[in-house]
Amino acid sequence: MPSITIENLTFSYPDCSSPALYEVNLTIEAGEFIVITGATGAGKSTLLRCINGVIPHFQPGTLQGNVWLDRATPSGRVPVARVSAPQLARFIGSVFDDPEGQIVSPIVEEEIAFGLENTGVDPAQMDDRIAKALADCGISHLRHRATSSLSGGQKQRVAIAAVLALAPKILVLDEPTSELDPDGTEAVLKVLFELNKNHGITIIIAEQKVTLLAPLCDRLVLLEKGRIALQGPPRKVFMHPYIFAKLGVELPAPARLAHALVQAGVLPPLDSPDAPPIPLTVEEAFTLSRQLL
Amino acid sequence: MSVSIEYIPTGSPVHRLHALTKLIFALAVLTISMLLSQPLPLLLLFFSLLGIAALASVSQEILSAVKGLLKVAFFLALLQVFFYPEGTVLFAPIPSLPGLSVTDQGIIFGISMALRMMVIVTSFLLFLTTTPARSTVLSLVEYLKVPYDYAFLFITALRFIPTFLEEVRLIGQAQEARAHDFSGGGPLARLKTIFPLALPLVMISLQRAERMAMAMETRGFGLPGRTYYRTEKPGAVDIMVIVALLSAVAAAVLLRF
Repeated sequence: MPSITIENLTFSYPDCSSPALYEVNLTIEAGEFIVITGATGAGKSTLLRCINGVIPHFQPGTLQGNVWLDRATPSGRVPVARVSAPQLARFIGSVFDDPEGQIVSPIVEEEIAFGLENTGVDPAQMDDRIAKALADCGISHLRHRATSSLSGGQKQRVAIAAVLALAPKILVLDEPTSELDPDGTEAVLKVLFELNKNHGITIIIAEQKVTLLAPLCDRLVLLEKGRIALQGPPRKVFMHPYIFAKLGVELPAPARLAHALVQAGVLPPLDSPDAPPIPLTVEEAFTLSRQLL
Repeated sequence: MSVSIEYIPTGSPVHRLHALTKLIFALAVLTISMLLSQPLPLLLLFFSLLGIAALASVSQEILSAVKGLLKVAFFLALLQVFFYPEGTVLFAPIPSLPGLSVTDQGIIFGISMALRMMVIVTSFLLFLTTTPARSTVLSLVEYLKVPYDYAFLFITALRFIPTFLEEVRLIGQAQEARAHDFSGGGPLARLKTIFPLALPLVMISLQRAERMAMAMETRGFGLPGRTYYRTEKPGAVDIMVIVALLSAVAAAVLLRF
């Protein structure tokens, strides 16, 4: 069941000769965890902005094609561009890269309440929804803290909880860990993984950190100059190291190990039927190495 | 002089009063102090404010602010004493300038003026230290029909003060690391050295404002039918306090005219 369908999407920023996205077609299934990656300027953020409505609601430019939001109305799908940004909040939760610029309230619980207040939720229900959103992000203990006293990783989890309180079916996150330290990054990604597994929320995330996300996601999409260069489950995508090299995206170390073992003649070619699956984590790489010894 | 005008959460009975009650309190004290012209009633009013500060457990902050105010009050009184023309002349420091002579009424007027200033500032300090800004703003929206957008502007501005200070510190350090000297000589030179700090700060803030607008609208800001998470209703105690305050103002008016 699709949740977002992108059809022939082309977008150009004003005063830019080449389009930032060119003829992109992509179907995102409900409940999928999908990672959009690519070199800087490949169009990751632009694609996400088209999905969460920042394009065309905030960002001017030339937009062709459509991003369909499925089952948004009883009658079926609607183009994201036709739903106003505040209306869209009920379907798609948006988290941005800057932890500071997206927190509006002095106190954490007020931050979570902000979206509920905006969408006219009955105040009697708010306490429960705030508590649930905080618990789902593992930050119940921060409820009464001042937002200015939080670390970057805590702020990003507050930002996720704040959009989660509106019960969206889809979360769109634009490099949410780019300003975080390794601990903060790990905490944020763990929350996303659990939201996806336990609540079936569709996760669409733009990230450079492929190594960390590969074991968590269902599908990797590699962009090159506004076009989809490669997509599929991580183990499939990692079969093509030359594409990663060409795009300047680092292939995760466990996958590089598998390719090195093939080159050394220790493993059969990875696309042959008797080849082992490409390891995604250090643990999988260790198991594979031990089997060979 | 460092005056704390921050909310100090102590959970006292004064803190538990509704923001509107405390706002009316500050305004009532202001009105009454304007109606009183003798130093003694003003002094009594001032001491009762200190009593309320003790009840609210914010005495320490209020007293340190009062200490700073004393200097201002002294100069204010001195100014009035010298320039108040009416009443019996007690002495004239410069005989050729009769306008500067000190009169008995001038002394009383000067002292009253200084006390009045102390009373008004103290009453608003009491209001600010015992009431969270958010409660004040929300009660303005709810009871005085201030549009929410303006109230929101104020709450968000409060939220950004720490962020702003942190950025000032970071930019300052970054510029100093590039050998920029912030401690330039005269006032004009000082002003000039501020530019490398102010310019990046303004740029960052503008960029952040744009992002924040995006973050707000993608969370439903601007939809009709907004609700409020915590609305505080004035209780029976609040009504009683407000009635008492209004009667006190009425009594002061009757006594004066």
